[in-house]
Formats: sequence, structure tokens, C-alpha cells
Amino acid sequence: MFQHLLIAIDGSPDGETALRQGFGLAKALSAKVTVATVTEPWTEAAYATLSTPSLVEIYETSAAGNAAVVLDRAKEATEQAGIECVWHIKDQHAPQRHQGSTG
Amino acid sequence: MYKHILIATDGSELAGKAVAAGFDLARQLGAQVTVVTVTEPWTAFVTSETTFGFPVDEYEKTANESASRILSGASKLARKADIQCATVHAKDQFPAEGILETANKNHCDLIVMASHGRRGLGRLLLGSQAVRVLTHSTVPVLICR
Repeated sequence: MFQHLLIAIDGSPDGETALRQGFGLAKALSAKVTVATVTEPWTEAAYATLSTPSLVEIYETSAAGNAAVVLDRAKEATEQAGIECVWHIKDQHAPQRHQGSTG
Repeated sequence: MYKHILIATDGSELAGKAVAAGFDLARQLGAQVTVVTVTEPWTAFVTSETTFGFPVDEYEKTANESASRILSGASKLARKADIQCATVHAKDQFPAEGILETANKNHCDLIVMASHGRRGLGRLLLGSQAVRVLTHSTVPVLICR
């Protein structure tokens, strides 16, 4: 049956529900878990008129910060549930390209 | 975890995968299973040209036969896998509504179904009835493909 579950979260209450359901299922099935949170490319989060390199950096720092917060919270839940978990921040950025085109 | 799994099937090959996955899951979780198959209302099934040659009672007879064939197949598999399994034929409904109503009535806490039905043709990433169930369900849905 299922041996490896991917749980996608974004820090929202619905994400918490998915996390709880996923952990419950993983435990019952003795499956491995990967928890992922995705941050969007900078171009989707910002307006073109704001595209200066410094803002890209600020966005990236705060996106990374948010992802860390989301995953840290999930980590606590994982430890409580006693589940082996692979941590995975999926970052869809292409920073070089953005900086190159905006600099 | 899940205690009562609803598995929806229309007897297609893809739905067979959903049945197999649902049974597997039920066995591992020690859950009971209800298998549902839905047959549509006669008016949705026929076009006006075929109405004359295909009266209501004939349609119902065919629908009943096909449903009981599908359900007895699932029961047999359940017996083999040693799973407690009930079957439901939801009549005169569109698939998604029939599935959701059956899940509701039986207090199922997980719905397992295929991504496409018989007429899904695979053109879409997700068939229309799967989308409807996902949209309206209050319990988790496992879509098999």
C-alpha cells in the first residue's frame, strides 16, 4: 500500500488539518512522511514596478523565514506523533534570473 | 484512523483500482467498507430519439442488473480479503450526488474513488464527478488514478 506520504502545508488552518490527517494515516500504515511547503517565485508575489534587486532579497528572506516557521511548527507535531519525517523546503525561486533581469 | 471507508465504483477498470486501493487501506486500518455504485436517472441516460425504443422499466431493469453485477464483484473481492463490506446501489442520481449522499448516510470518514468514470475519456486531469465530490465532500477523499 502507501509507503511514503507527501503532506503539503502552507501554515493555514486547512494545512493543519492535512497535517493531522497525513500523520494519522502514516502512523496507521507505518509509512514514511515528507512535509513540504512551497514558496512562490518572486515575480508572482510582486508587481513588475517594484522589481528592484533589494526587494527581491527582502522577499526571499521573508519567504525563507515563513517557510521555516511553517515547517518548525510541523516539526513539533511530528515529534509529538513520533513519526519519522523527511523535511523538504520546495523553493520555486530562480533568483539569479530575476536579479539578472532586474539589475 | 479511518473507520468506515466508502468506495465508489462504476465497474470500470480504473474504478477497479480504487476498489483495490480502498480494500488494501481498509485491511491495514481495520476499517469497515461500504461499496457504492450509482445509476443515473432515466431522463439523463436517454436522448429523445432513443426514448421510444428504451422505456423506463427496461432501463431500470438494465441499471439494476448492472449495479448488482458490479456490487457482487466487489463483495466477492471483499470476502477474499476478509473485509467487512456492505454494498449500496444509489438509484436515479448523478454519480457525485449519489456518492456524497451515501457517505453522509453511512457516516463514512473517507471516500475512495477513481479520477474518471466510464465516460471520463481522460481528456481532463480530473473527471467531472471526482471534482464534484472533492468540492462538496466534508470528509477526506482519496482519488485513484
